[in-house]
Amino acid sequence: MPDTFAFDINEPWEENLQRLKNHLEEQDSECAEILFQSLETLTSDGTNSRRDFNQLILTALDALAEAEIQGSET
Amino acid sequence: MTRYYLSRLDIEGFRGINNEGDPLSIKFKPECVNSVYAQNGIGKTSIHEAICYAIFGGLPKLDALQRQEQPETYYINRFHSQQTGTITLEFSSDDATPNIEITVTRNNSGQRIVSSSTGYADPDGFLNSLAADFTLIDYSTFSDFINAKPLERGRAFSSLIGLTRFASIRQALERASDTRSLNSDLQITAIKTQIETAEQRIRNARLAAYQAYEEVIGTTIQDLDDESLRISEVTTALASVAPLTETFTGKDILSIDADVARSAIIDAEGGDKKAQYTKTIADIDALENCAISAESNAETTSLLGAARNRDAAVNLVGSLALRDLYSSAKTIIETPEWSDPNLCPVCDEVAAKPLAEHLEACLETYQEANTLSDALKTLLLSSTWFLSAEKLEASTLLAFTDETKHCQHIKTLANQNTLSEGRLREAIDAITLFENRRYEKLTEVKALQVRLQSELPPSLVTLTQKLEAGIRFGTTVKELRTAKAEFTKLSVHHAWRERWRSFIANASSAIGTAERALSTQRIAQIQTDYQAIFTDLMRGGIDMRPQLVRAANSENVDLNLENFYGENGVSARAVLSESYRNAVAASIFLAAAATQTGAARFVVLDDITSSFDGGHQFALMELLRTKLQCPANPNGLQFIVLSHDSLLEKYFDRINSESGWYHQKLQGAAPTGKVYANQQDALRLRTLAHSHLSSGQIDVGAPLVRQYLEFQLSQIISKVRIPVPPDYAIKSDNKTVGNALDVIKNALQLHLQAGMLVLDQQQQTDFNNRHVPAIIANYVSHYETGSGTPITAHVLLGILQSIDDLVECFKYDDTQNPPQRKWYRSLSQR
Repeated sequence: MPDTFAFDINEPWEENLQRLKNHLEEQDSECAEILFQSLETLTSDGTNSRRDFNQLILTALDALAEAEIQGSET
Repeated sequence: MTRYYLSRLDIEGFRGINNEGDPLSIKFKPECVNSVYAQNGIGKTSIHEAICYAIFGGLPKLDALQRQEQPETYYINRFHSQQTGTITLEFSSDDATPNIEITVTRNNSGQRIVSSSTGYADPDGFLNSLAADFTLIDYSTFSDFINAKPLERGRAFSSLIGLTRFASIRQALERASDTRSLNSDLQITAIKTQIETAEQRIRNARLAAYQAYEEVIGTTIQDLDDESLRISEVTTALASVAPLTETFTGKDILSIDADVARSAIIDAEGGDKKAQYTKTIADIDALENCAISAESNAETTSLLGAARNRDAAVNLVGSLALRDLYSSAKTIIETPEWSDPNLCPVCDEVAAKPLAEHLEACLETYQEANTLSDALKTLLLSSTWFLSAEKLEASTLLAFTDETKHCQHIKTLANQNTLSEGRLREAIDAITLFENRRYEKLTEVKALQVRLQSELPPSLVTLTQKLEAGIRFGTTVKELRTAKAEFTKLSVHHAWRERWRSFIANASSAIGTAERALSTQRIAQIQTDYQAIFTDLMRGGIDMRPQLVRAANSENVDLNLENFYGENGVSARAVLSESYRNAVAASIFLAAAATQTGAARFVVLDDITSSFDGGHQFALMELLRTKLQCPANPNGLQFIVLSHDSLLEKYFDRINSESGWYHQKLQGAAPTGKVYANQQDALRLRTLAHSHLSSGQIDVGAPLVRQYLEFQLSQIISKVRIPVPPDYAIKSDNKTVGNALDVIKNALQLHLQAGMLVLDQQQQTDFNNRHVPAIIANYVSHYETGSGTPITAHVLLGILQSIDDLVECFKYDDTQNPPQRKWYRSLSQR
């Protein structure tokens, strides 16, 4: 992933977040989708936020892996 | 982009504001600095909290309470009979876009409901768009900013310059991309071990299949790429021998019944020796199949290493029984029945602070031990050593007794995260002895086989050997297929996890770079402005300039002073007084706020000047009014200043008559009664006082009478422009009425002696001889001196009338028909 991403100082947070989302989707749309589905958990204040987030990521990655395995079998 | 001012705020039943059936309503002017003053306990903080709850969805102060303190029960005013908190905000746009009114309700179930009476489609989304770091600022934000360490300041600075969410996502992704955490949380190390095990199974099965094929067919093969062909060749070779032909009818080597095939040979050739010989072949297969290979044995080194690491982590934090104790203690003190959060349920000692946080921290230290225990469990249960050991212990030929076996027990211990290095080593030693026993038994059976082979006809021996080899071929092909499928599955899972690791690491790097660049840009963007604001605030002080410096590779932000008595790069934290420190923070914040472009075009400042002396307070307010507030600044913001500072309140009162300022004062009886903003609600305040007094509630009505009197006296001073002495603002609050009356009386006397007094004779007489004496004698002397007989409701009702009559002394009928009462322009002019 090239480090060409930049936030725009003139745009509000929402638009910059969308800009980030677009950038990451260009790099890897499936991983970007997983990230943004679980981002709220990661940025929450809880002491286990990282572990909870990674648990969600693991579940999502396993689902993608199983779908790929099923797809290759049919 | 359309931006919005806050133009009205209504509150009922929230925090200190009860106002049941009659919400506190405060209007704010977009083109003015809006100041709201309240004495302590009247409800100023509740205004701040209501805006905070409406926009940010929670109150940090309550969220920080312990669970057993039931923070959720403190949102709604405890005296509101409906137990419903309602906050209505009206926003006016800075263009022609219609106003938006949004109501946020919190019911007694803690549910937050957002709606828009003006039909805005996404009211929740709109409130979210206002949740900028600038929207609500209080004193602690400033004071913490200077005193913080560079990293903390860097994070606080992100908030000040509106980049909290950028910094937050950067920090979050840094946490998520940590290699060690990923290995542990996503079980990457474990899945790698499982893949290695599957690869080993494939290698073993493949080699066994090659060997079995060679024994049946007589030629060697190097691969099983054409698996069907090899199966067919083995099947054909065995099916072509007469005793086996029928057994193979319609079947191949994978699907035949091995026992039926063996019986077929025995039936054809007959004899116990043949059966015994066949058994030796099967036994040798079975014994070789449960061997502990040298490769598997080598795994015990890494297993013992993992157990050692786990033991070290457990020893570091104490016994797991202690963890269970902490966990139980935490469960107990978090139950609603546990009345004292500081009381330890184990030792009955009372701690200095609530125990829940301490216990949480203790439990957190076990996480490392848990992680390493999990790693050991995964490593053990997926190791070929363990799988082989289980097979070895299960061997019916070796017939180990249950008491001598270890695998089931260490598996249980591993699942319970209690498998120690010592216990594992004991098991490994025992399995080594079993392996020796297996080897001896194998040697024994092989010797028997050689003897029987010499005693049986060669053709029968060969056929039996070939059949057993064929059966082995079939079994290993099936094992190969299973292992390959497992390998493929694990590899796909592993590939996704590695893909994620790469993605999140790159995302973290990209966001880190972008966030640093943005922060540096924002610092550069506001540097000139915050230095100029600081100079304005500190006018008369030394000519130094604060300067923020963002570190290249971290979130650290240093705050230095340039030209500090000729020196540069001096730490602001080290040399500045509290007032100066907060002035630096205020300068930086205001400069940053001025650059914001989000939906919120308003800033609520809650008691930010607490550490300022009077001069600096006024300088800050003047700065807001003349340079930062719109429309004085075309791109400026709407400022809403909440204060309980009585000195500042006098200033607000004075400046209220000037353009660009709109001042209101809260009056009332929080949290049980009603609170009003008196600028609009003086009449309501009077009505309320009258109502309470009429029903005999003197304790509630008396403070309202005082507030009404203070308000009307300040109105007289303001409306007829009576000059006040320099020390007027800083005299005791207790003597506000006496001070105001003195000021008015002196001004009247001065104008009278100069022959310029505009009040008619009757008004002068009424003021001096009727109303003022009535108010002082019957009321003021009581609360200013704390002496005298108790005041009755009847007397206070009379005071209300005297106050109204006193105000009339400063008004006249104009020339309209019918005439209207107007304030004199001054004491010498209509």
